[in-house]
Amino acid sequence: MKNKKKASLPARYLLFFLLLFCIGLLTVNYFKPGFLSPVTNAVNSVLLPMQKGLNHLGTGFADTAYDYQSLEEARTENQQLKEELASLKEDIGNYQQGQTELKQLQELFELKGQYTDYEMTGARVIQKDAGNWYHSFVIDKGTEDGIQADMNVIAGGGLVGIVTEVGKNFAKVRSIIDDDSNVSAMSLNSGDTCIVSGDLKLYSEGKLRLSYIDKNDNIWDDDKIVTSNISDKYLPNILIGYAQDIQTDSNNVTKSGYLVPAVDFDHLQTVLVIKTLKVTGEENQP
Amino acid sequence: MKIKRILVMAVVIFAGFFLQYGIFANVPLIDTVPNILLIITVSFGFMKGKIQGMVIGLFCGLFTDIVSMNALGFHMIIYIIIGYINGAFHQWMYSDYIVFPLIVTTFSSILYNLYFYVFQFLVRNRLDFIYYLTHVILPEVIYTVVLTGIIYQLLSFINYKLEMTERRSATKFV
Repeated sequence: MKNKKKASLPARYLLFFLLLFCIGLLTVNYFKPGFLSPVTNAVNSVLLPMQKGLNHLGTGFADTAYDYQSLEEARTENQQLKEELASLKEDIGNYQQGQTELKQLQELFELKGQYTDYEMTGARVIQKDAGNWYHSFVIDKGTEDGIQADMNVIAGGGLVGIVTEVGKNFAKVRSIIDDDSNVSAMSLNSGDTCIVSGDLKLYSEGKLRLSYIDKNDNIWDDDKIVTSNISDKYLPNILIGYAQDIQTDSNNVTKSGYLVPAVDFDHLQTVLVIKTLKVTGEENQP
Repeated sequence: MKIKRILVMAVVIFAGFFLQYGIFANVPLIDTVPNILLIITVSFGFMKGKIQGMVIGLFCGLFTDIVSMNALGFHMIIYIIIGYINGAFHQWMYSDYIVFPLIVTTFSSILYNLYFYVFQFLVRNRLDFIYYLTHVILPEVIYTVVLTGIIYQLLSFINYKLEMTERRSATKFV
């Protein structure tokens, strides 16, 4: 009995002290964000390369399993795609005509082409978040390769996310499906704006939330949704996905619906980082 | 003798960390990732008492914080608390009895996820708790508890071996 009391008293003090220490760390982080990141970056630049090897092993298993499963699907898909290709070839002819006309008009307006002109760099996903509450991942390029925070990340022709932290040889990307992510977007057809936000709840159905659409705006089902001109971090006209189930809200002022993303987030292995940052005209402000 | 335990613990935490982030985070078809570091914290808190539970929780939390690149300290708090609480159950430990570790892991895993829900989701007005409970929390808890069955046995074996060497060197001094 005596022994137990002796042991439990210092434990309580230690708990108190450690919790105070953690709260201290959090306070520092709150008032001075990035103050402790040299420490975390140093540790990460040691840990991540080690993990890269293991990750290879993990995805190796994953890929073989996935390959067998998808072979059957691929066969039927192949048939469908062949039919689709035939009709698309027809369309291409029409578009090429339109393209030349567009080029002439663009030169006329001195509008530079959109995101085909950006300087990009490829990167490999080396770590997915092991928690079940977040959707972010780490790529294998960092400040050494010219990556900076707020750079846009794309893959397979669609927006994936944005760089939030950068270390020497790695960078953390928060994907647009993260519950905390909001992207200012617009319809490619009408230019009407909306907000695309990630939602953990919707993601299991493969969707994102599309909201803050004015009731009279022209955004309809299957419209292409791209990043908007007025976003302060995302470059304009990057494809995000397609609108779905647009309905008027109960307040009768706005509309909202869902967005099916253009990128397959489940099998993301390589991404492209756009090395151009959005210029908002606020750069010189402190 | 202390140094040996510290070294072994460091290896265990490293191994758990790589298992969780390198292997389990990449397993396809199952979206849930089991929380191996939580199992380690719970097991050693339970086997060795409050202080060791807290110290191991501190390092597991520190690892998670560093790798997730969020605010340093956020995961540390919950891991330390879990280490302490499980240390309080130390007096009920019977080494060959697996049911009790499974029960404490269940409750610890629920506590861990509730902490997350409250401080990351509820504060942002995500109120549909039932959804998160059934789709995020329960799968993780079940997966973690199932793995505890295996990992606890392994950890308790490591602990037993360590205690044997510690006892041997202690008798030398006496």
